[in-house]
Amino acid sequence: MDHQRLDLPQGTLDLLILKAVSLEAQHGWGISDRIRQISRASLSVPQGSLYPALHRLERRGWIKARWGTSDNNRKAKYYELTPSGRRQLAAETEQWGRLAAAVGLILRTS
Amino acid sequence: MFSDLRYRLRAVFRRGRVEQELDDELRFHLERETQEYLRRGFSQPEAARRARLAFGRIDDAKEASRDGRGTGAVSQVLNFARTLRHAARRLRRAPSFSITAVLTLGLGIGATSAVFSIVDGVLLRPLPYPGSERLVDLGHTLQLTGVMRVEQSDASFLFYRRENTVFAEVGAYQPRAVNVGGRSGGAQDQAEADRATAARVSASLFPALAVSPLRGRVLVPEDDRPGAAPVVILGERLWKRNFGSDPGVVGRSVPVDGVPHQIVGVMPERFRFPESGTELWLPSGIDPARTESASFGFQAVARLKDGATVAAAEAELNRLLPRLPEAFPGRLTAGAITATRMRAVVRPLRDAVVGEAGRVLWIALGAIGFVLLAACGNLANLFLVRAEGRSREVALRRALGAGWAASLGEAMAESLVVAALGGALGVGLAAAGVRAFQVWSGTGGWGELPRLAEVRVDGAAIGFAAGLTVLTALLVSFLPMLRTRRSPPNTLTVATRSSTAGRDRHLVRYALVVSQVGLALVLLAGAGVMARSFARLKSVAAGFDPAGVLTLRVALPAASYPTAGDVTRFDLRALDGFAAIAGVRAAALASKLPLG
Repeated sequence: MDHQRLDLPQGTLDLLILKAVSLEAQHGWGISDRIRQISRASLSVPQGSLYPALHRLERRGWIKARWGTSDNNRKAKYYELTPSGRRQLAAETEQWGRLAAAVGLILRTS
Repeated sequence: MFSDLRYRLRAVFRRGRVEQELDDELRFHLERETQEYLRRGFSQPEAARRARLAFGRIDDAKEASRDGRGTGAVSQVLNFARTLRHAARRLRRAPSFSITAVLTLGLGIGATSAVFSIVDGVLLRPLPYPGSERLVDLGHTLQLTGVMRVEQSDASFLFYRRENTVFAEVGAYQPRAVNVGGRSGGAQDQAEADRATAARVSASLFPALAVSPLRGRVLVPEDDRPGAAPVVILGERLWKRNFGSDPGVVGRSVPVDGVPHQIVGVMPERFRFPESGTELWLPSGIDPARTESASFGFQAVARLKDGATVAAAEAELNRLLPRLPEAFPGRLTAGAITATRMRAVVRPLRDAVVGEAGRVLWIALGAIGFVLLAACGNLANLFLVRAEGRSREVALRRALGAGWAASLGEAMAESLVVAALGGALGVGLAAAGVRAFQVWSGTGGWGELPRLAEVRVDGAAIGFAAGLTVLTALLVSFLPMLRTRRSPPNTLTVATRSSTAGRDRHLVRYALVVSQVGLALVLLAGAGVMARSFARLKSVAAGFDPAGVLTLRVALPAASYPTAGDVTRFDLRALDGFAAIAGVRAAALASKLPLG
């Protein structure tokens, strides 16, 4: 917790959410926890901004929600990837890779 | 796309359910987060606190989620409806402010719209004929004792119509009153006769004005030949009144001044030419072989050809005029034309129709502009005082965490409620005002104001007046808010000290009061001047004492009184009869009323 955390670049939260729900259906807290764990707590996802992003993605039809029971036996809203969400994730992942590579290239050559 | 629509529809129509789900979802998140902190060994209150801290403001997340759902507009509308209800409730608690503001708005909007509607209907709107901007009125001026205006004689009309190169068509007309038979239609049935305003018109008048009949046909040149069978065209109102809108009226016969005329057509109600009351059109009776060039009993209207100007037309008529006596010899000789410096005058038909009333109306419009300004000033003052009265409440709300936008929304909502009520009142007043003016003018209050029957309350005028006043109210409620935005805590202390207002506020109010007094003064002076000129116009010395003088007009049917001698005998008998009535001091006869 002591090391410095990175702020998310604009627009990457959607990509991270899509990725987090790509393996299995997850509820909101699970998504934020997953991002926290996989990034080894180096990414700070503002929890408050997670839910607006989830609703936005659901509206676009990339993820869909259903109510289920959580591991601690509580009613929770689970999100899972739709086929169009899967395509979006692939496209965005590819785009992100190209962008990161290009930015890295520029920064190294100078 | 489809899923998006379904999602939004659900968000709108199952709003409560969707909100509940959002609550549940966020609560679950907080519980899980709290658990996480408990697992790390924090106490329950501390774990809950940390969870909330990590989450940030829950209401912000909710609001942002609603935006994410794409139904932000809907929830804003619902919020605003609530704000409006609150505003209405606050206004009810301040009746003196509310009533004054609504009345001011209503009067300002109503008076301005009414006057503008009249000006627009009479002066600005084109005459109800196609291409009316190319219609011109043809007349003459001559100098006898002073400059006087004469219209057209049968000769001058025929001559100009034949010789000109600038007009597409020239029509002549002559208003007159006739007796027209009623439903029974018998030629002798004079008991059923109505007096009606008619016009003798040349067949060319209809193409000149580019009007078409409702039923049947308009006059054709054959109708206007000497010796042609008498025909008549009815106006729609007369057709309804006397013939019960009989669809088979064309071809029937109706007595006009005792002579049976065949009805050949019906003109639509909107065609009111030359006067708003004209209901019958008869052939002009002009006989090219027997003209009287110095009898200017006709008026002429012409349609300019494409590209021809009023000035060019006038120049051409003045070139033609000296040749009139050779073409139609008569009492109007070349010598008479030179001696009287007779000139042809061409002016747009609208100017001719509106006449002198135009200037008065423009002055009235100017005056009403000041009324509107005064109303705005008054409103500004009212709202400023109101906003100051509220500044304490607003400061308190701000201190308790109300957003600046919310406070502004509340102030605006008040203005909107007042504006809606005032606007409704204004529309009602405008409609009533126009109606009252039409009635008053019709009963002779202002003489006959031309085209008044065409006047309708103008939507654009109401929009303009309402827009201006409402904008004033909004701006004025907006300004004090700006101040509270700058320094909310200060506002609170100032307000709670219930001290007097700051210097700058006084300045604004002084400026408003000064401008209002100034406007009122201008209005008062203007009204005074207008009233005086009006009174003077009305009391022009007529050269006789009009007190106690009664007039009446009579039209004798030519069938019963065929010769001039018959008419004279009737006149003399009638005069004797009038003079014999008790209380009548003197009776006289004239072909035309003085100043009539």
